Parts: sequence; structure tokens; C-alpha cells
Amino acid sequence: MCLAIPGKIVEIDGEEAVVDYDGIRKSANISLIDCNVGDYILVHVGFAIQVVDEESAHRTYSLFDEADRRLAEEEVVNDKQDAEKSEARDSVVEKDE
Amino acid sequence: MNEFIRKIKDVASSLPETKIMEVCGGHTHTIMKYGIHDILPDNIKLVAGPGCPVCVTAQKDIDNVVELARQGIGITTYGDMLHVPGTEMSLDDARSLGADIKMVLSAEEALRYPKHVFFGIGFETTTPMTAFLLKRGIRVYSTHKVMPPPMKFLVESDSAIRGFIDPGHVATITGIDIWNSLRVPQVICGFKPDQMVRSIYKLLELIRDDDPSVVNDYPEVVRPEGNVKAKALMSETLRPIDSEWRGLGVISDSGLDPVDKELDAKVVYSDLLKDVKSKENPACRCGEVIKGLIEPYECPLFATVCTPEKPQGACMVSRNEGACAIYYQFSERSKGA
Repeated sequence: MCLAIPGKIVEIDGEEAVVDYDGIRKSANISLIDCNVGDYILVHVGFAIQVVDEESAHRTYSLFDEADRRLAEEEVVNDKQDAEKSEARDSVVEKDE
Repeated sequence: MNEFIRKIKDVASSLPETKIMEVCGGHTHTIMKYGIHDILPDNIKLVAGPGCPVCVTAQKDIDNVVELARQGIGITTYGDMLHVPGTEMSLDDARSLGADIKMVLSAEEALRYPKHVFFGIGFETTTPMTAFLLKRGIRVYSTHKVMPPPMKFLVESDSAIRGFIDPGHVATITGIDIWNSLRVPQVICGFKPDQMVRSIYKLLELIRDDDPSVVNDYPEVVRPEGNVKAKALMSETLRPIDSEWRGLGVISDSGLDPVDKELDAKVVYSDLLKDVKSKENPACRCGEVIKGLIEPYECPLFATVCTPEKPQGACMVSRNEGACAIYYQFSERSKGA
């Protein structure tokens, strides 16, 4: 649960930032830190928790090595399956009603 | 990394049988994935502690939230919580029966369901996001827990533990000072295998020198003061409470509930929850796994009736953090079972 992933801020709009994770872009909430476009940040459940320097973002995490990328993709697929299951069930329940 | 493996062997040669503990499920994951146990000398025993929030959540809290959902209260929560077995059923089972339970990947997604109760879980890394929701008026059932009270509890009840690998992302929020209160050797550690090997070496050095210091071995992320904004948000919206941990019992000031009673689902729905009865599966040895007293494969349910697909206990639920689920994925022993 304490997994946090480094990414680079490419755009900021108020409390929201667009973050580039080695090619994949997603939004993150940046209200817990002070940061600017171009900063590398560590993101946990959709929130930036710390600014890290570029070198350590690359060196420490090698942004994503191949094994971690596969693991992360697997997690996304698992989470998506869970979410889809949830939605499918919700729609069944709604139909019943 | 080889340099530190050699250094670990050197330091270990001057130590007796030494038990050290990691208290972050992320660390357990790295240790098992990269086989770090295999490079440690025989006299160094590295055990997993209470570092997986899903695993340490009390049965009672799972049962309470299942009850709220079955009584028609909408629930939002993170995916892992859905599959934790309750006394009668999991949240996922309740959802199959028609309860309105939405899984969110980020706390911010919970804002889409303003009438739902957010089932908040996690240590300091994850707590600021729940504080963010409270600040926006979302009602919360909190099982949030704090470090380091369970570590203090373990040191006092199991004197064999000589030091801790501290959770790097919890420390990112808390900063460094909070860990000094334990007065045992500790190293704040990152999550890559080379970082972990280096931190284990530094911890063994502290133990050899009988030095109860806290070394920050993850300074590129952990600042001495932590994340000041996150800490301010947490103390504004959450208050310390005595909290029940699976396997450890009630530990004083080890949990957090909302300051605003109107947003505290335990208070608002106390009538719905007063008759909830909880009973843990007596065959499940999660409690001993969490305390680092047994390895997952020593539990008779492990990899037999208890698997990640059909978890019997909380430690088998989280693929990323639950000690049993991680051992199941990576351990040769589990493959032989």
C-alpha cells in the first residue's frame, strides 16, 4: 500500500498536475507539496508526496526497470478487472431494480 | 551490491544469532522477489513485521464496514480491502449480494461519491489522502494506523528483535525524529534491492556497535522534517486513538479517527454497529506472521486452503504487501507445498 512511483510533471492546473511516468501520462493531486513543471515527484495513490531530484529519480528507480514495469502492468490489469467486475455487478443490480 | 553482501558477511561474523525486522510490505516484496534472504548469513534472521495495513486491520473493522454496506450505506475503498475475509463475508461478497461498494484507485476518486463512506486504511503514507477527503466533507470509517507504536510493542514483547528496517515512504511523511523514540538501531530504507542490501549492512553495523541511532539511508526522498503540509493536514482532521491490530491487540495512540464526529462513520452509525459480532478463524495464524514469530509457510492453511485466489486470512490478500501472499508468489517453499 505504501508503493510510490516517480514521474515528471508536464503540466499544472491548480491542485492537479499531469505526470509523465516514462511515457504514460496520468493526473496527480499536488496539494501536499510545493512543485513546478519539470519537477520529478513521487506519487502514492494519486497524490504527490515528495519532490525528488531528476538524478535520483532515474538512478534510484531506473524510472521503471523491465521487471517492475511488468509487475505494474499486471497490477493495473488486476485492478481494472476488479473495477470492471464491480461495474458489471452494479449494472446487473441496477437492471434488477 | 556485491560489496555490501561481502560487508554484511564481515559484520555478521562478529554477531550472535541476530533477528532484525522489516515493517513495510513493500520491503517484504523486494526481499522475496530478489531473494535477499538467500544472501544473508545463517545467523542473521530477517523477519516481516506489521507492515501491511490490510493485514493488521482488525476483523471487527472489516465486519463493521460489511455491516454498514449491508444496511444500505454506500462504501468507497481501495481494491485490497474488498477481499479481506470478514467473520461472515468479505466486502466483495457483500457487493455480490447487491451492496453499493465502489473500488477507487485514488482517494480523489472517492470525491465522485460524496454520499458514500470512505473506508480509509493505511499508515502515514496513505493517511494524508484520507485527511484530504475529510477536509472536503467526505464521511470516513477510519482504520488508519501509525508507526512506530507497534514497533515499540514488539520490541517490548520480543526482546530478540535487535533492529528495524524502517519504512521509507512512511518516513517520507513523518520525517526522522519520530523514530528516535524507539531507542533501538534503525535504518530508513528505500525499495530497490541494492538499497535494501546496503541498509541491512548499515543496520548490522549499528547493532554491532550497540548504537540505537536512526540512519536515514533514503535521503533522496526522506527529508528530516518529512512532508510538513501532509502532517499539518493530518493533525487538523484526525486525532490519535487506541487502536486494535490483528495479532497484536489494542495499542495505545496507534490509530487515527476523524476529529469531526459528523464525519466519523463509527460515531454517526454507532446504532447500526452495536450488535456486530466478530470471530477470527482459529486455524489462521496471521497474528503470529504479523509479529514475526512464524514464517508464512509454517501456517497449516498456507498454500493449502489459503491462497491468493481464496484467502482465509488477511495476510494472503494483498499481492504487493501481505507476507503470506508475497511468500506464496516468490518462495520455493510454497511451490513445494
